[in-house]
Amino acid sequence: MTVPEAQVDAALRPRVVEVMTEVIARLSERDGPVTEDMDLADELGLSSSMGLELLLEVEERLGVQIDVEKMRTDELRTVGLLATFIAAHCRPA
Amino acid sequence: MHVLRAERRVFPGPAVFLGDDARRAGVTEYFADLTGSARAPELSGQSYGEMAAALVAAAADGPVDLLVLAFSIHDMWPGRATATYLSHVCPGTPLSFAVCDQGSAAPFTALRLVRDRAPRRALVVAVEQGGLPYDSTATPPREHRGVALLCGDDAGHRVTDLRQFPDVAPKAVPELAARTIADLSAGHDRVRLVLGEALSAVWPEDPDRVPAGQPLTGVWWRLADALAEPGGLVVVGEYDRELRYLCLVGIEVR
Amino acid sequence: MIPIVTALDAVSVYTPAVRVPIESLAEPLGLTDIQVRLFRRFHGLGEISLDPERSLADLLRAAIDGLGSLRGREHLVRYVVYGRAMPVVVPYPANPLHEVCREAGLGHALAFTVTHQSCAGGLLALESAGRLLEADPDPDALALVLTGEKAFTRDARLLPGTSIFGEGASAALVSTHGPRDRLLSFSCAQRGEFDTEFGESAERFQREYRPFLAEVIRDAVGAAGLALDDIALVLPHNVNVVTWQRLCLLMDFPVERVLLSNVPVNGHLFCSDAFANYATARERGLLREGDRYLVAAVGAGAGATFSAMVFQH
Repeated sequence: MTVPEAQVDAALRPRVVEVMTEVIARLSERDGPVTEDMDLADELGLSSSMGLELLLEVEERLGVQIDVEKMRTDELRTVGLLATFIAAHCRPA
Repeated sequence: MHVLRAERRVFPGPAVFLGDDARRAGVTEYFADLTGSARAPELSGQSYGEMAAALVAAAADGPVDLLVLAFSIHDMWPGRATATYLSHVCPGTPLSFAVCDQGSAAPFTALRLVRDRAPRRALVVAVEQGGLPYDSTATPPREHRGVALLCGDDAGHRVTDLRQFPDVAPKAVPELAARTIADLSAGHDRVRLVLGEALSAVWPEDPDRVPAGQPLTGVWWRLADALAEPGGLVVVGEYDRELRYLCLVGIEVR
Repeated sequence: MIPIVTALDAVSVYTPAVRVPIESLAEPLGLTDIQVRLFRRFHGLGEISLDPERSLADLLRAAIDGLGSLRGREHLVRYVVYGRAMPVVVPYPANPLHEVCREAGLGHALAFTVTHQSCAGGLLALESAGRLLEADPDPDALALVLTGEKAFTRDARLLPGTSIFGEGASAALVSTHGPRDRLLSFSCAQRGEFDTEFGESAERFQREYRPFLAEVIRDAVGAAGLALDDIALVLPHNVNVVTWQRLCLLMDFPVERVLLSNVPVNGHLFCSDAFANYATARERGLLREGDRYLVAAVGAGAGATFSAMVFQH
């Protein structure tokens, strides 16, 4: 899903990426770096339940609520795409 | 509807899956919760998945549209959606489900549900196994046995009529059974009876007595013999003493 | 293969008054803190009914007692079809189905259980009842469809990472001519390859679950001669909220038209969800005369059964 630039919270996005990469590294038990271009399922081995755990940690650590109703998981395949979606579709918790 | 063939098997040993420790632990926990007993159950019975898969392989001659598994006593894998599993191992990936909680009436109900859905090909698989992993008032079947009836719209042994009578008191059984057998037999010169042990006294001629010990599969086992002998009408009948169902079906043998 | 008319005349639902928040189930179900938080935040679960003092027969009895329109018509009930997810729920030869039938004046009916389709068994029971009535020469004959289960063992309490089962039961009166809710279509597809016999496949199952359910739903809608847009309301299985949100995105169907308000209240009521959601829809006046609505159920243990029905109110 493409997100118009204007809707993306530019200040929030780097913080989302930071939390995501840290949580993904832990969930996927990965030693190497996690980068924005990586595929969440195929490359990082994230299951759908791990995906939800990832969202919960992002929400709790950043104090936001993500609009999951609009989240097309099949289109948000990479770390970067998911981070952009989150930065455009969340509100303060 | 026609019965196209009947296949039957005795399964001499316990279920193969009981050799797997993890699965054993799973069913042990289930039985403990079912009975509220902490005592380790004795898992020596059979699995309807294993029994029915063998029967399906023997009976299915091509794609099947509907599969109904009928049982009374449960098996050793009590939480498994066995019929759903069978839908995958049966040619044609048929719509599959099980009928139970009805004693020996279950295979008759299965046949009836098949008849009402009029599929091109269907399997009724009646199974019973002889192990209960807890104390029970029930006497388990003598052997692990199963019978599969392949049914369909092709030429075969025609099911002429199927009658099920709920809540029949034991003293009313002889008269009702005799009357229904007479009804089903009308117009047929040669009638052979396959009656369950609880019914064997109701007909003046000594029927081909089905021995006790296989309350669910007994009559269907004997039906397989009856179908091998051409001609005439076979009436299969069974009475469940506990649940008080009287069931009879007429099958015209080719 | 669809009966001309199967009509749902009345529905009664019972859930025990004893309710527990999902947090208190963490210990007995072996759930971690984060698993419980996930259930609450994304799966939409809140509390469930769980009453150790009430037996399975008590649940079924309460559902039948709530069916006011059955009174005085017991003699017309020819069939009692009990749709159940868990195949074995009492030690053999106990038979709560026949016990409650006799007590309710239904001892004369042909009563049996359909199972081995997990939580899709309720819709199968309804469809089977319709076929029995269709073949019955008496146009006034009725069938009673029962569902109801206890959350009595781990397999019957938790779908890991997916849902938590609560206790409840339903009773529905079915005829071939009733005016209220007419069955237009039924679609059912099974995926036995996910049985544990064929190895661990949970991840693949998770991936294929929604596309497969979407296909069965489209099938049922198409068989009713309708388009998805014609569906006024969806009565889901209460597996969880996030699955339905994502399914709706996949099908381009507004999630607002899926009745999800019972998920936080009941959890997943085995085969009873469809009937509980129907009762809620009626109570809230969500169904208007002529509305076409869809009922969906998925029975997922290891193998899976996907079912959908379209009705007209």
